[in-house]
Parts: sequence; structure tokens; C-alpha cells
Amino acid sequence: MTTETWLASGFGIVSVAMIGAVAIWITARDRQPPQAAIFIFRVIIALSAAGVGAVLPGMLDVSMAADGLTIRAACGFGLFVVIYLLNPPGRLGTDLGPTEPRVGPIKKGSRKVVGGP
Amino acid sequence: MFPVPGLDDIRIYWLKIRRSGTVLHGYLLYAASDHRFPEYMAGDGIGDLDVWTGEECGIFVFQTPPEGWIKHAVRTDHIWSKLVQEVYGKGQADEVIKIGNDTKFVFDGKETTLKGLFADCTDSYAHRDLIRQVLGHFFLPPTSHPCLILFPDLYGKLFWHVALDNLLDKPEGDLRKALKTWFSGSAFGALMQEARRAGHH
Repeated sequence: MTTETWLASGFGIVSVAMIGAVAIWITARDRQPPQAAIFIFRVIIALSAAGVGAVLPGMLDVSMAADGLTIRAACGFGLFVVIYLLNPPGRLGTDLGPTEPRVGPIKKGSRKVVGGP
Repeated sequence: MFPVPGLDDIRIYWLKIRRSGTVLHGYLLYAASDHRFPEYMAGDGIGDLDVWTGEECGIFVFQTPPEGWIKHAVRTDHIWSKLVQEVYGKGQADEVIKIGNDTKFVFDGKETTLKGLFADCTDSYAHRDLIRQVLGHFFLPPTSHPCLILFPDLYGKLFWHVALDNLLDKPEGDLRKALKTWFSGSAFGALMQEARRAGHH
């Protein structure tokens, strides 16, 4: 394998590990990531898939039309396009069905003026 | 749980509650329009939360307690019944508790009933004012209900605000389940630990 391939796959594996750690942390803390974070996850997951796809054997040829664009891609870039358009983080809350209502997060506060009710 | 008719009662009860060994205290705040909190609390809610919060946590709620719960509190020597007996006089409180919420008794020179004492809790406008006053004491916006406000010391700086907006307009069963999960979970456990630490300092 070439250096570029090693770098691409290394980036993919490290990114997947990092996203996995962040996802576990968010789930454990019972937090809802903001929309901006979900978009960033989407891009990083797609890039990670492209990186991992660079070392996977076999051929992937993607040809699709989306948002008025015709896309043709192969191998790593093909995986990027597929994963980005599938949008795995965006599927949370739609594919998993309705979630149970939960008590909200705890916010610590400090009164500026000390006093009872 | 400490069902109280107003803020004055909390001031009267406070020292006695501290002496009883509770370390974490708070308010469960909801307006009459925060469905289904009032419905749940008027039914099984006070009994449920009384058990789930444990003996080291006392939460004030502006709510007329159900007669069944009052009788249970007296039977089990619950601290709330002791406080009521101290504040309103043992004989009269016993009489009220035995017969029910509509029994007339004399308090502060006026004839009243337990329902009468809790009149501000049944009047939705007066109830909102109570909630606004409590939120104001914590410098929280008047829109911050329904919520739990927890603190180790009524007159201290530290407090925790727990939003309950997600539970609005949910069926009582879901509301009960969510509160049960929270009070048995790690978040509440961590607050209890922190309150115990704060109590030692």
C-alpha cells in the first residue's frame, strides 16, 4: 500500500474511533447534540468512510443524481458520497421511532443575592 | 415531600426540616396550565415522589395534599405531619386530618379548613404568582416552569435547575415513568452526593 493509502485509512480509523467515543459520551450524558454538530459528524463520518474505503478491496462505482447534480464517483470518494447522502446522524430520531419523554438536563446555578423564599 | 400552601410556611418549616436530617431540598414548580403535572400531583404524585426522593431529600410543592396521603403521613409519623401539628396545634391538626380537608378549625383567630389554607394552590392565578416569586428568588425567568429547583440550603447560593418542559402534556403514565427514572438515576444520585458534601462544609 502507498503512503497516501495508509494515511487515508489511518485518518478513517482514528476518525471513526473519535466519533464513536463522542457518540458514547453523548449517549451516556443523555445529551442532544446541536444541529451544527450533527452536520459536522455527517461530514467526518463520510470522510472516515472514504478513508477506510481506500484500503478495502473491490470496486465501488456510484452514479446518482442529487439536488440537480449528477454525481459519478468510485472507491473512496464513492463511499464518501454514499455515506454523506445517506446521512447516518440525521437518521437518529426518525428511524429509531418516537423517544420516551425525559427529565431535562441539570443546570447548576448560583444566586447573586443570598436569601430564602 | 412537603405540600405547603405558601412561602411563609416554608420559612416556618425550614429549621425543623434541616434538623430532621434532610440534605437536599427543593421546589417542584408547575402552574395549573402545565398539564399533566397538577393532575398527577393531585392524585398519586405526592405519594410517589415522597417515596422516590427518600428520607434525605425534602421537596416543597404548592399543592393541596390528597386526604389519603395526609392520613398515611400521620400514621407513619411523616415529618410533614409533625410540622403541621406544630404549626397549627396538635389537637386541631389531628381533627382535620382525621375527618378530612373540609373540616373547619380555627387558625390565627379565623375559622378555616385545610382546603382554605391551600386556597392559593387551587386558584390558578395565585398559584402562578407563587411560582413567579420562587423563580424570582433564584433569578430564573418566569418561563422556567415546570421545573425542579434543588438546593442544599434555602438561604445559600448554590442551586440546581432541572427543566421539566419535555414532560408537558404527556400522559400521566409517561410523566410518572420519566420522574421515576430520573429519581432512581445517576443524575439525582450525583446531586445527593454533592448536597451531602455541601452539608458537611
